[in-house]
Amino acid sequence: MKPWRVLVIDDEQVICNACQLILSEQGCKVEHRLTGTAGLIAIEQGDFDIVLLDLKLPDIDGMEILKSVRKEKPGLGVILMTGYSNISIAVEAMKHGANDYLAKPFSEDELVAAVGHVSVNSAGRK
Amino acid sequence: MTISHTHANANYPASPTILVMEDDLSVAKGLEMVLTEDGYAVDLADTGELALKAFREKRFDLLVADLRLPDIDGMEIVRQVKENKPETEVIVITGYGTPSLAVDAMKIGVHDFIPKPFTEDQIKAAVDEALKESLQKTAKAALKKAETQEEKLIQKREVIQALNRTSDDADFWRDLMENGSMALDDYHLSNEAKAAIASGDLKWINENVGELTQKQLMFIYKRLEREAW
Repeated sequence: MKPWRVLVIDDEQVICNACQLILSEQGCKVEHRLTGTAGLIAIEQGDFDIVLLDLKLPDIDGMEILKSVRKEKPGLGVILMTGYSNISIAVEAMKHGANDYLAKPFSEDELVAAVGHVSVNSAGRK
Repeated sequence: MTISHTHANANYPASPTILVMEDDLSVAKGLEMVLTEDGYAVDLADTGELALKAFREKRFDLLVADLRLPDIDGMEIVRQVKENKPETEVIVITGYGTPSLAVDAMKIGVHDFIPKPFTEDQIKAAVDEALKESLQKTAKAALKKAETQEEKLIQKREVIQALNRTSDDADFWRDLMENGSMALDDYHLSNEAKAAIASGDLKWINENVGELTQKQLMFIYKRLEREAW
């Protein structure tokens, strides 16, 4: 896997820590934020390749963050994560431009595969 | 018929064509009735093989695809259709859907993924949306093609103007011979076109501008002569 710069946005510290541990082992540089607002600021100010985005955040709906990212940074890879998975959410996420979708709980292999498969268009990144 | 549907249809030169790939006859006939009432031209295929045959024989704007078929995996048919006819929109309908299957389908370009059972309104809304997107894609592609053609025409005109000037303006001739592409900064030319003129690339000029007069080509010949020396 390429040494992607990954931002995890999830209000569960344990998920953030797990993603950080797993992806760091793969050579990724991982940061995390616990709210949507902090996540959006990090996206705006940082230089990430991929965002792992929880759908249910305490302040902002993850789907709204996805829409905003697609508008402002279309080249940024976004993988949506949710513990409330259903077909309609998965379809909506993909229609709004998510690169992939992970239903919680997911395995280490599933996470690594999803991050590994995201093709990043660096031209759209800031 | 919904208002948005009437609008979508009004933009199509002919009735949009839909292939329903479904082995459950009651679902297939129901879809045929609902979509035909809305002004679409609907064909049915109850196997994957027949669906592929239909695509070989006719152009469809939309494929409504069931995934469990008696002969071939429906997803395989969808993959082939998106590979060979990427302009065709696809809506998957299935009674065995999972979020992961839906994501896989969307990744290969499916426009929508609807679990069975669905309502008449659900399928109509999905068909409307998919065909509207198809129209937008077609319009964008046509616009891009027109813009490219216009740019080519502008560039051709500019090359001819620059070459005409070489025979009328001795200072310009000298500037172009000595400074190359930099002498062409005032012209609306791509870097490739500037390099072709400055280096005397006769092949590029013939291919992109066409036949020119001897007077227009004088600079190119002199440039090539100088190159030979």
